[in-house]
Amino acid sequence: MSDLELKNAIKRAVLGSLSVMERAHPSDKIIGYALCTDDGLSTVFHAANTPQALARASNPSETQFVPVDWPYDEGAELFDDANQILVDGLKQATMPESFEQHVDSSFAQIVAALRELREEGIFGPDVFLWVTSTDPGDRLRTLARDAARVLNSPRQFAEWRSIMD
Amino acid sequence: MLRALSLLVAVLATLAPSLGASAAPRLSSPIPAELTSPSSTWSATDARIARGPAIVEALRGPIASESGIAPGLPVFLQRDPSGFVDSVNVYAAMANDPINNRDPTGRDSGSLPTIVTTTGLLIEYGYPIITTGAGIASGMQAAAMVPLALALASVAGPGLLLQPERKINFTVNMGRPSADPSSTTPKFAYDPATYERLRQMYPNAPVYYAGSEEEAEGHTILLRANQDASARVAKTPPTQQPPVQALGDFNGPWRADNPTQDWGRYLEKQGVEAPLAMYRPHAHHILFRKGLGPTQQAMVEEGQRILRNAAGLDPIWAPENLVWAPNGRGTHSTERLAEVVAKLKGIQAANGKPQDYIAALRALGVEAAGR
Repeated sequence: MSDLELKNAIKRAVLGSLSVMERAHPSDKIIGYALCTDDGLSTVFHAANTPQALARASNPSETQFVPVDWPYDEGAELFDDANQILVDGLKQATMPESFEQHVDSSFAQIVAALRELREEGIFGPDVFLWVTSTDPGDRLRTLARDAARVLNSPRQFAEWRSIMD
Repeated sequence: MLRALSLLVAVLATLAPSLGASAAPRLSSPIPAELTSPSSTWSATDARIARGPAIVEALRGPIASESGIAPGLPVFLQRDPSGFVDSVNVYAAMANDPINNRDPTGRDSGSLPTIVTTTGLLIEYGYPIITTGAGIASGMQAAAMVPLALALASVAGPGLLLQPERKINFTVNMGRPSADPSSTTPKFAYDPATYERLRQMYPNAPVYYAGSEEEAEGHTILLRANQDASARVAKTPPTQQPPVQALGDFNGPWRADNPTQDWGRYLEKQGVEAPLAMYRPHAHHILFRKGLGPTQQAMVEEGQRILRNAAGLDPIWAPENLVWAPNGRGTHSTERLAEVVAKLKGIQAANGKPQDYIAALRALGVEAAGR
């Protein structure tokens, strides 16, 4: 697997998912978009949040930063190529060192994909973006913290830190 | 019988140099004389309490004590309370067949089955039973396996086999021999069948997992009595099994989380492969490992306390809390986590037994896998 291959697969999937969700919820505006993985970087899927969904949350100030509680994930199958790349990469990572390298480099490519899409204007400046493990251990927690920092404005990151860090 | 005992001591004396001081740390103090003296007054309580530490220490200590009674042997260190039931040797135990017999009270004639028949070291109610897998073992054969016991003790570490306090600690290596014929050192692989039998036999036992990947391959279960075990045992008729051990005082040791653990491979090592048809499978902690966000983290901590203290399960490493499940929306939601924690709290409120928690985790795991 090349890093570029994963990043491009992620970008294609994100763009496709945005189209699918827009068709499914034409009146909703996305305010949060996250790519979720696991601590072994063997899976990736997306989740999106909207003001309408957030209004239904019991704890909206926290829920706005907890993508496992976000309601929208239409177009999940569009991430199949990226998932396969991750699975193949993990299979090759048979040693502890190569496993850590797989985790770090794959996570970095997923973040890079979202960052490029942000820079390309796909996401507006107010949309909170994040990459995280769904049940992160300390290592993934650190990576996710970095992701929140590089993908968002200083104001968004400070708000995220006040709740999540 | 005296001749047999002399022979055993001679065998042990022969083995002693090969064991060496480096095989396991030696005790700073000798085994208390009252535990090795044939004239000690015997009671069921004494046997349960005294033999465990004595024999555990014997495994770590010199091969022969100053008193001339050989520690490390799978025989009573005190007189058999039932007299000559097992043998004319009142220091014999379990009818000289520790594999097929078991005698937790010291008063049985050896009719109870042992629970481990695979290779490994079993210290059950104070009796070290060392098996070869092909069956065992007279005292001499068992004595010849003492180096293996010491090797296991060395691998497991002093904190595992001998706690600082003189409490009763039962340590069971429930592995089976490695299938690798080229291996020259004892290696043990996880044996789910043995594990399950142990869990059924000791439903209240806290499970302790070794501190490294290598140790984890030979999963170790640490059965530890509560501090007032002596009082409980004393009230128990000697022909009955001891009471279920309370775990309220058990504070570990629990294996630390590993931030770079490959949980998928860990689960595979337990013999659980990812289902081929599962979409986006990942090794899923049924009670989440950490949670995402402060609300989830607080719930996870509460649930983990219950699993540790009431079920004796390590919430991070216990296979009971791991399952292959699709990683997708809903699997890790706060609502889902709340259901898991509520289930555990409900069992706790009903004074559930450890097997109740395990059954609940199993059901919750099936639900997670089916999402």
